[in-house]
Amino acid sequence: MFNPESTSQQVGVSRVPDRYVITFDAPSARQTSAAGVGILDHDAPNALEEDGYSLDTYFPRLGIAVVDGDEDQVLAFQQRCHARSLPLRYVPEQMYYALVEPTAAPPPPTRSVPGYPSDPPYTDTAEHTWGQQAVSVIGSEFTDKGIRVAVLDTGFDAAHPDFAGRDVTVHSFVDGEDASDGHGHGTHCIGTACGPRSLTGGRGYGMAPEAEIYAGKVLGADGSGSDSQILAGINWALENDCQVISMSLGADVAEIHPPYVAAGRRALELGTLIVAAAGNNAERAHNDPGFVGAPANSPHIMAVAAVDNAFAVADFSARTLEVQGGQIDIAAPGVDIYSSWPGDERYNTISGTSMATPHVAGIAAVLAEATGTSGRSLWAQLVQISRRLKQYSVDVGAGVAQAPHSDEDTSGK
Amino acid sequence: MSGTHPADEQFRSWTITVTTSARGNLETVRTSVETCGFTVDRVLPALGQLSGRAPDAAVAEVAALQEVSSVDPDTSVNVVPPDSEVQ
Repeated sequence: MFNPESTSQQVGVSRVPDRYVITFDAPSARQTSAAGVGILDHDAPNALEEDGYSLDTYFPRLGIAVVDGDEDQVLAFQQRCHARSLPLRYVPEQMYYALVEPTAAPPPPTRSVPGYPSDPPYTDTAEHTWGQQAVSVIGSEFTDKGIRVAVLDTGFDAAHPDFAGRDVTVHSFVDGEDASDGHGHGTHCIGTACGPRSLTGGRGYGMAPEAEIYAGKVLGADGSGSDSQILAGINWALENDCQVISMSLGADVAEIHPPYVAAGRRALELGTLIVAAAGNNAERAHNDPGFVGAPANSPHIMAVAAVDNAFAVADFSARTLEVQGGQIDIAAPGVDIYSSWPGDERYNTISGTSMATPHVAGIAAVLAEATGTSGRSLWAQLVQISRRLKQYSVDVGAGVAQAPHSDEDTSGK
Repeated sequence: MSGTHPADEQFRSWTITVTTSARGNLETVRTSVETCGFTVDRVLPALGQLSGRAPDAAVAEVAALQEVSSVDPDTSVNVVPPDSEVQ
């Protein structure tokens, strides 16, 4: 609506007295709505009429009603509906104005964890990595319990003490090599995705500490692998109902590789999200932004870019490739990442889009547990709640992946 | 073609992706591609793919099969040595 008296100071919204917008939906926006056509066409309007509300401003396709009344009345209505298994949320109706002059956008919402900065730059502390802080996983009430995460990489040091007692399944797709990690890359990635969030007497570094780990060795101790090994690993993960597959691997090939298009599509059909490293072929300091390589440039595989602790794009992090699916989809911490390492060394700090990818995979697992979503819906949720940055989307996609918290998206009461 | 090829012809690694409708008949497709001279190393039922080795001449024959969506040469990927600064 247009208010001719509005000025640039009248930005945003103002509340309409004693008017409320009721949404018949799940109690939290993170929960799947159970409101089907029957509820929206019959139960909801019946309940409104029983309470004396007009149906003139009830919109059944949306499941939304705008009603007159004070908050006590609406709260009582909400409680009666809840008792009838008819969940709803409500918010005061707002008045909107045409924006007659450009105005500065409000700062993006940030999550504050006691003792840690809510904005960059972040630094590793004795208890937590900067990456854990940046993706807001510290303090998230959700864990990922019951979610299966496959990490297809150089194997895993299953004897690492930080993973004692964890549910771990390993398999090698590399001829002549067992599933142990003769390189270190795989153990580091698994540590970020599924390692402990906190450690007694040490620094936590993981995202999804209760996930079931499926460590598929598709790269040999020399760090190399082929399509046949990687596709076999994806097939194995799907046959084991893994909800998330993390692939910190790739080739600097600008063309989309058809087998990964089919594999990514099939995975989403089965409710599995594949995330892959965008690639480290950029040299931004020398004006070379690089390009997203295969398999991350496949349209059904989520491509992950790397940012540093100030949320600047990492010098090596590849830029969107101008083909369908070649875009950067999301970003995550990928510079100076501390995580697990095989053998006596136990820990290592390294950089790469390989390190950013398991941050997203682990958060995806947490989000899967928090929302019950999978596949394409999980992809959409990840993108939706990521933290927007001012950098170009060709470099950071939707922004930095964020862990869910139980008090988010519940503004509708 | 009969599916026989000169013994000294170069074998390369390939991935066969079958059509959606043929995904449930992967073993039948396997038999068909093997008749063309394709050696199947792995059957990937969840993906509807076969991986294996064949000379280029056999691949053209495999690609022409109705049940086959695409035949693509294997590419290799790698991660850099563990002591590299960027992984």
